[in-house]
Amino acid sequence: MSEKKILEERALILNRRSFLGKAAMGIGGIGLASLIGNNLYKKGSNGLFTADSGAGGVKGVLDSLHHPAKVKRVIYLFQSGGPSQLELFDYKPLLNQRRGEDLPESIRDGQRLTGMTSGQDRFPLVGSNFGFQKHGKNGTWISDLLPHTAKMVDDICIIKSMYTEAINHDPAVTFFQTGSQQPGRPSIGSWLSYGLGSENENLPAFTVLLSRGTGRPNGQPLYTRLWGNGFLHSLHQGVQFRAAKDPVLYLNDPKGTTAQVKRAMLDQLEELNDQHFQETGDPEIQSRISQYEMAYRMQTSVPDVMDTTKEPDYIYKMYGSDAKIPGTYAANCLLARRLAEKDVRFIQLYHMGWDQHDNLPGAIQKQAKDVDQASAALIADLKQRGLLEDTLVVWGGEFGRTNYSQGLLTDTTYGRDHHPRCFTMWMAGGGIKQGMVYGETDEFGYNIVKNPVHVHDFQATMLHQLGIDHEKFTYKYQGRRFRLTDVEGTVIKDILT
Amino acid sequence: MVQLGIQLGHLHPLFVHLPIGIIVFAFVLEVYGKLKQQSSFSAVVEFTLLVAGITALLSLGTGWLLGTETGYDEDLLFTHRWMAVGFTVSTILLYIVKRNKKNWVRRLYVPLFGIVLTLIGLTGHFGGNMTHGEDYLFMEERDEIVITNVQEAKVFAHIIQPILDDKCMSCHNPKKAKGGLVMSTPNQMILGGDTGSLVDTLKGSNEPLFLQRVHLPLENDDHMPPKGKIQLTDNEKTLLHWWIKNEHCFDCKVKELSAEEKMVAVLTSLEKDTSAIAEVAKKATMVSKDWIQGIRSAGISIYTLSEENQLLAVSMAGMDSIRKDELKALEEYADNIVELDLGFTNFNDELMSYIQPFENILKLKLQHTKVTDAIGEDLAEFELLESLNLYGTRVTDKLTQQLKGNKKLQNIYLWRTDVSAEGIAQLQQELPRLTIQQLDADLFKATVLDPPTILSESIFFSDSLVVKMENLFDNSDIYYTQDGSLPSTSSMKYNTEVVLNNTATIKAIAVKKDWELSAVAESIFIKNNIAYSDIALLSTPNEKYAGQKGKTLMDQKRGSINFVDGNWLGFEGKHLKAVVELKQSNTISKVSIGALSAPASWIFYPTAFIVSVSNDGINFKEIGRKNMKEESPNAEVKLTFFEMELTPTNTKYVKLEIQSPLRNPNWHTNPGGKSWIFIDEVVLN
Repeated sequence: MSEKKILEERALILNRRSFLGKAAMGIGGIGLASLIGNNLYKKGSNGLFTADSGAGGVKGVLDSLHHPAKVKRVIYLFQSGGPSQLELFDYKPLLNQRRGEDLPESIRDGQRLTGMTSGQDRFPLVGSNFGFQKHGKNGTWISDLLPHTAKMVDDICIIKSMYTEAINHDPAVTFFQTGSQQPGRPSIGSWLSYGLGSENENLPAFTVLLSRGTGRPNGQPLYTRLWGNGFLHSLHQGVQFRAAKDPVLYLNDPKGTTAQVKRAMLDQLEELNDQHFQETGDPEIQSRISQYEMAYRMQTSVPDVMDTTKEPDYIYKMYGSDAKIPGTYAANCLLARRLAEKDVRFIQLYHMGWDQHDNLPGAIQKQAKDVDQASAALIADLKQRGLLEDTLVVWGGEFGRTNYSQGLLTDTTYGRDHHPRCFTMWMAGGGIKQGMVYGETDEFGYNIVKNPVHVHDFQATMLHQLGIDHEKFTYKYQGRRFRLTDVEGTVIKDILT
Repeated sequence: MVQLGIQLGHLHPLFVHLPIGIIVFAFVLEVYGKLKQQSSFSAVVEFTLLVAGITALLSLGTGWLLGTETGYDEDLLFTHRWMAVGFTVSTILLYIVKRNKKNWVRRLYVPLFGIVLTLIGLTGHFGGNMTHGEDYLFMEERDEIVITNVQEAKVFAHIIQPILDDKCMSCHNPKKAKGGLVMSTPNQMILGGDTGSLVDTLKGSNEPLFLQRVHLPLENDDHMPPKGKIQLTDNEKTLLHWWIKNEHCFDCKVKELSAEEKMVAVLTSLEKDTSAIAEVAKKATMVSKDWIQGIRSAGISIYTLSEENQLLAVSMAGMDSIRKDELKALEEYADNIVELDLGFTNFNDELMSYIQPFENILKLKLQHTKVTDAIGEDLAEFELLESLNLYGTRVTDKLTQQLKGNKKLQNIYLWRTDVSAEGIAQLQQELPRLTIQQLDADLFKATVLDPPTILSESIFFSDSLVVKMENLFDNSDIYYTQDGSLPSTSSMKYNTEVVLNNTATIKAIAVKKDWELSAVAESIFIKNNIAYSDIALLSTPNEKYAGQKGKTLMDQKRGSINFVDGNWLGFEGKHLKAVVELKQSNTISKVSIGALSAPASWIFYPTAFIVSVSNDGINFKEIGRKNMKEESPNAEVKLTFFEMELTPTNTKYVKLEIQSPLRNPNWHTNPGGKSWIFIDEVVLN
């Protein structure tokens, strides 16, 4: 068969299919018209005047949830670089007592090391240079570096027994975000956009906010594939909101473009794209059509949500004065709350700079100051608005740090290398037990002795809270059904109410 | 003989029902015959009574023998036995009376029949009580044990006891005590019956007697519960096994005993969801998908809680034009709606009546709506309401007073309303189980301001420099000093830009009402009024950090802690030597040198500065030398200006030697490694 004939035949099939498909997907031309005000209303079967077709945000593929959800949205405060659990949450006085002594081989037990410490002849133990106090109703140990988090300890659930398989940043972050160390799979937010769709037709279901830590301002950068859609429709990729004049790149019209011109341009473009789609059948074209439309709506919705000038003084007092500086973690936490209020499904924050191989005491003080008050304020703010009961807030990095010093160890300074075997995260919000500490590490803070939680367990739990069974939520690609949790993961029932 | 007696006695259940049925049948025949005036019936009745008498005798005989067995309640047995005797005698008498044709005897017939029927009823009842337990017919209403959280349940009282009550107690109660065993109390169970204690393992068995009896094959005579009785389910057997193996603890809670994953599953299956949502869900009808699509097309978010759970969560949040007809459209599945979010909408008192049909609402969100106290009465009607969000509305104490009837209310949000502290206290008193979600006002009281930003075109200047200061917040002040002293609120207040004429260090703080003072912002401004024509490097910087060569040192650009920014010159394992050529001869009295230290990157501050001068550029004379202490162990990245006062000297050329430590110090992780110095600026005054 000639190539021309193949194309012709496919065009015929696609014509029919796209006719049926478009009606269902609601991203066809007529639907778009409703957005610019000239809606053609008709009376629906339920007696309501409704727009001609369901225009709006991204629709989720899950017809209904697997079980009733505890939360509607997630705010994931990702602490990029691997925060040291030993300075923040996991109190190990033994390390202070045995400071400078070698890590016993029986404890290390053949752990794979990164290239940064594999050359070290000695692994001198080092405890936290910062004190710990008991806080809250249950007397939970929290570092003096986190005075504000300590105040909210009765609202959060601290998991001290997280572990991962990766020992370097890229694979470890990728593992947390996509369930696989190798790039190419969709990130959590994309899975949720794909499964649950958007609750707000004017904002993407998956937004990303980045901030640089003051602890290590020139630390590793992040890469956009961490909020990529993998093999899912590109419609589901995370949209980064920047701290700049254009929060979302390429969103604003060129100077001199009126709304009418823009609308007419989009309509023409859509026609052309549609024609192209019928010829080639590439689903990415449809994805592009709806992205143009989303971008059009975001021209007004994004500036609205990013404009924090009307936030009252007492709100800034909660989040800290950094919240006034765009692009800081505090400012992003405030934005996260604003996005949550607008029902954005998955709000991903990344705070960089936790990779403290050297000069950890100096760097972690600054880094902790960056995040402490704002994280606590976010919980408190969500709580007083009644948002916390249907939001899941997660705080944590891609791995922990070693109990021995990397590089220089003096009275005032030391460093810590990456440690995958145990680290701490916390969660708060709907359906999560409050004031709980889950899991335990040995007295060296090197291995888990009770209730280990794997990255996939964490992901399974997150999906569970959203009403999704992680084993049933799959996408078939290249002949295999993929899951966020790959072939593993167990919901951590113990921490759920 | 006794042995045979017992065997015959076991036929009692076979015979016992015959006289009952036959006597009743005789009665029916008698009545029917009389009504239809069928005289022929009489002979049939007579024969029936005879058969009844014979079967009564058989029942009595076998029953008597059965009664010699132990295990029956003595009192009950006595009553049953002698009533049976009475019944048997009366039945035979009735037969004799029926046959007799004498008139006065015939008159006895009807009363006697009545007595027979009464006796058979009573005998049967007492017999039944003996086999099935006294509460079999008139079962007392037992408090049903509902486990909502199995981990907190008591193993014996909440899990094991109900199984025993169900499956064992009818025979092993104090009145009946089959096999001498009574299972009413823990002690009696440990005491056991004729064979021994239930929890002891007998010879020839590998498990306690209790489990052994339960696990015997059904056909075995010793299997419990006996064949013909209701059997234990697999789950019940597993539970009994688990309990006995855990030392048959009578007071433990589930969480105190170890349970493997499988066991946990069995235990969890005992849990009953008694939450309001589960109760409502039981009654919920299936929701039409088309209907949902229709509602959605009006821009309303609506979904069923899950595939199985057809309850509905509806959100109109953010809609600014909710209309009556939209709420009316939801009425079709009013009973399914358990969550309604109307936050940040135009929802108001008038629309309130349109959500009244949604009686099963558990969660109602009315934050930032126009509702007032007038909705109080309507709110009280939502009897199941568990969570109510009124944040940002203008409701007052009047409303909270009306909520005391909402006994199921668990969470209420009253932040930014006009409800007073007293109103909140009163509500809490009325509904002690209610959580009033509000923040402790002191939680974020002591928030520290960020320091002000000090701005200028450059930190170097030749004549004068304009310096501005900015704060993040309006309604805040800046206080500053120029002499290096710490600023306070009694220092100079910043009103307008500051003009500097000399090298100065500005320190500033931000001040705002109700906030903690900021940390000190500090900035150094350096006057540099001697112009250079060139700086010639006598030692070569590393090619990666060569900047604009000598020009880098006179470009009046500070390097940052990011030492690859091009504003630094880096020298690896060597000193920096350079000659500065002034535009014209001038008097120099001070030299300032900008340097970087980043021990982790093998960069250290210089160890010495040597300054020489010359008027011809060939013969130099040393006029100053300054040695620095070796850096103490640290790993911070930092930069500073080193300043060196000189005897004022007139010169055209200045030669600088900035000495490097050359090697990493002993405290470094790589002692002796080739160290670096980084220099960004040289300023002469």
